[in-house]
Amino acid sequence: MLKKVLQQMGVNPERLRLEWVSASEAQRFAGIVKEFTEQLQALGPIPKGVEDPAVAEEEVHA
Amino acid sequence: MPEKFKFAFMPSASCGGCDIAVVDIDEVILKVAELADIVYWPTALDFKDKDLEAIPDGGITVGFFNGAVRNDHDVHHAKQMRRKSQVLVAFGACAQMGGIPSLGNFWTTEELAHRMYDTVPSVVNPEGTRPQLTYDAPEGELTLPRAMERAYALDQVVDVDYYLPGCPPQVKWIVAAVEAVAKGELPPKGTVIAGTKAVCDECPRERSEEKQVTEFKRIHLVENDPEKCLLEQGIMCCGPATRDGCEAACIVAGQACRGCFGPTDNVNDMGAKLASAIASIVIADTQEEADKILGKLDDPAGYFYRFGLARSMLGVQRGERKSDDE
Repeated sequence: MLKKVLQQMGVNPERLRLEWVSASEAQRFAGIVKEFTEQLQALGPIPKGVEDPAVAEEEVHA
Repeated sequence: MPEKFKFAFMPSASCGGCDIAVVDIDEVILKVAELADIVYWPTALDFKDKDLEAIPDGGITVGFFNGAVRNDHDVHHAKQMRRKSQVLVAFGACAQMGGIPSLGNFWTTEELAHRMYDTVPSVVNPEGTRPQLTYDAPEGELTLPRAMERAYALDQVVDVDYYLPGCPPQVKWIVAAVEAVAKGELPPKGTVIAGTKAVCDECPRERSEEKQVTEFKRIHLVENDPEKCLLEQGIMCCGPATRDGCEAACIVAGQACRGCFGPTDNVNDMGAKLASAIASIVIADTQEEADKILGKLDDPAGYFYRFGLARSMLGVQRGERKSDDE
């Protein structure tokens, strides 16, 4: 559901990931974090939309 | 007799319901008239922009602003009302948090115009005619306000003293606000003039400790049990995250809460709070099951931010949004 909400809000749902990892699965934990970090880095920052404060500054406070 | 107060009511991107709510206070309006002069209220009386301009700065005791801030003329009005009002009240859900007009923030203004003037089934516009912002009439140049890129809540544009929530605000809270002004007993700045708990705390329906939902249903497609919690019946209800003070009016009438009073004091982001409330009542053993149950909610972001999209912390990031055609 959160992925759907993110998509509606204009955020790529690939930026969200939920995994259950036990305290004894250190290697798996590190692997998931590494993989997801790489995925996020490949996606880069979220492009600024109209929520960009600079837009509001120009429209409202100019 | 001491000098009378001066009230002003300013509508902007609104439906007119907030102005109706003012009239709805019935005979109390006579008390208001005794207490205060209404110096500007274009919805009810023949006031023009020049009448507002003529009021000196600080000349309005309490200014009530209803509606979201959607175009450059609304911005102008908001700034004028702030300058001229000693106390500025965001009146109604739209002024408080963007309201229904801010649902348009899911799309760009160009996309909204395209829908409105080109693709609505009842529109025939083969030449793609659009309203022009200026027109040279023989009598002189005519202008229209320019729609901005999004709708804003009032306090995203100017400083706001108090909030009267609701769609529209309820009579008893309007009266409470007017009485507070009359007695000179104003609450701390930033107060939302309504309840402090959640709608669930006022709701007369019975609820069990354990909510277990295995299927969501649309309220108009099923007969709901009037004694039982709507959420427990699988009907989406915004009660858990919504401020009380309305005496659960919609729920008593058989409708689900739509969240018009906005979030309670201890909730930062109403949509996030609702998402967590809804997700936590779903009973599923696997991700697939959960997806199937929650997949029945067609428009979760629209439900969760029905009245408050302009205020969402995340905001609509159009950069990664897919267009409707994709």
